[in-house]
Amino acid sequence: MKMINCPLNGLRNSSEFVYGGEVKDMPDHRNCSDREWAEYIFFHDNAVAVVTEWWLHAPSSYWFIGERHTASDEFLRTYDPSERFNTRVEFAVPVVESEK
Amino acid sequence: MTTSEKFNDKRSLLYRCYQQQPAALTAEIDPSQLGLHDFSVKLRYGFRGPQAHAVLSAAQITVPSAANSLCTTPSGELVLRLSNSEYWLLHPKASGQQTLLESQSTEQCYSLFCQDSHAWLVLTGPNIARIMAKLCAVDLREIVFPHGAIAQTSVARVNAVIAHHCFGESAVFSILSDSASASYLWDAIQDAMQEFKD
Repeated sequence: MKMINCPLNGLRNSSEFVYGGEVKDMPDHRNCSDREWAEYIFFHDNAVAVVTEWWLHAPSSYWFIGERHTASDEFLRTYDPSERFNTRVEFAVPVVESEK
Repeated sequence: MTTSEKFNDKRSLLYRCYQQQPAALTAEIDPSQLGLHDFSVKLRYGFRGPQAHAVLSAAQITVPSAANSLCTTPSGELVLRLSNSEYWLLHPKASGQQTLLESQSTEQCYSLFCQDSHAWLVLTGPNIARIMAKLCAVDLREIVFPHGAIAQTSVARVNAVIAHHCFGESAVFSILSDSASASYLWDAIQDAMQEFKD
């Protein structure tokens, strides 16, 4: 069985984990175009490379980030999301038509 | 030790198992003997959030210093730390509701109702690590999984929290698992125990 190193729980069987998609910067959902939002929600690069992904350790409901090579399927590194998301993101107030 | 049927105000999550095994209902708990016990009617609750540690400290409750570990209070309660900001409190000797939950829930520290979401089984006896080895991929032997350790993993394909602690003089495993699959897990562990009986 393949093993994944969970930052909270240590090495565990890969059957305990759930894939959560690529880690991408969220566009400003109030002001972005439909295309930009669709890119963020639905589209993936699907490259043969080292990709940064969300993973869930299901028994502890713990989300973390993993860097994985899509060809060898090897995890190069896993880490807690607080390493990357350490400040609150504020989006601009949407532009209201009547104020233009 | 009071067994589950003494708490008449609550019905265990495992009541269907009792219909098939009436003996389990009245069994006295001897932690030194091989046995699986239902603690589902016993009191348990949790907190999660950045302020959870502060809320528990304010209530004079000592918390473990690291995630996936537990400590025992002088009154016998178990304090489980499941992540950096999540704590569960288990009361092996009490049932009913507790009031700390309602009074302390805020945006920074909110309640987890594990009394309803999770069943609580206690596996006692001399071969508990070997029994769990049949169901679980994590090594739960004493040398690598000492008293006070917690493993959050898959047991018989069901997600579970396994806590290694003392009950009286004996080391036991508390297994907290989703309430909807509690009857299945009860049967799966009973099946694994058969090899070590007699």
